[in-house]
Amino acid sequence: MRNYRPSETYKRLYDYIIEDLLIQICNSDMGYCVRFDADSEPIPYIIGEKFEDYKNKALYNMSGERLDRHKLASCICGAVIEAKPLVNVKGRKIKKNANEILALAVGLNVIKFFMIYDLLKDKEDSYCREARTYLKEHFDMQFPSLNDNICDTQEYRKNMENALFWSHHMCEMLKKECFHFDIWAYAKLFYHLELYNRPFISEAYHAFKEQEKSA
Amino acid sequence: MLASKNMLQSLSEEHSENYKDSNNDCDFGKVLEFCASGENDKCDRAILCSDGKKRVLSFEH
Repeated sequence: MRNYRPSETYKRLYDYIIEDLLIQICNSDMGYCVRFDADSEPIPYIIGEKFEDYKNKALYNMSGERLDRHKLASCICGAVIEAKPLVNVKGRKIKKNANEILALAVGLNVIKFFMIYDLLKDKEDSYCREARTYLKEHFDMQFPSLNDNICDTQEYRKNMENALFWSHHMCEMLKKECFHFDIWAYAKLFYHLELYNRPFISEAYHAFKEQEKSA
Repeated sequence: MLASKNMLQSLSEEHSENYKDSNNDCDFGKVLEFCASGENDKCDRAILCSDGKKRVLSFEH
């Protein structure tokens, strides 16, 4: 066990995004719970350590000291995949790629927080609080639909979840070549998903303003 | 012949080390603080753990 001390930023990332999603998953009665082992560190620390490792790997190849939003999203996505916080409640069956599904949602919520910040940072305070809450609760990051697909037979979201699953999970189970989680490639995918979502967050913000007008 | 303007432009540009630079993004800590400030979420934060017990697994911001 290393002498890991989580940063204030990571503590916020865990409390505001990861924990929020874990609570929703584990309270949904789908058979999920959080891995707990009395002999190892609690899951927030395990994820945090792996996040630090990924950030250091990314920063090692850069001259600056700050990772942009897409690299941060990619690093936390990789960290959640490795930490595997979700397991099944005894006797219940869960999805094999549950942790990859969670990891993708965590990464996308990092992007979503940045998008909300970009949109509202200069707005007046009381209005800003309402809008922020509205967007956090009503705006879910979108994926290209099946109609937008080029040759796939399943949705983009499922393809991405499966890609994450195969990149770093099956190798362990089948003792096959590990494709490793690629920080840079997934950072670029998060970049494209942010671009894809710009009109959708504008729509959601417009819906909020309409709601405020009619209130 | 195939359209190749972008490829040729890339090949003719002076080699840059820009890929090593961090982008000029805003501070993540600030973003997280901004998105969560003013909210008092009183929901039950206990999570079911694999030993069957419920625990609060947060840093309690």
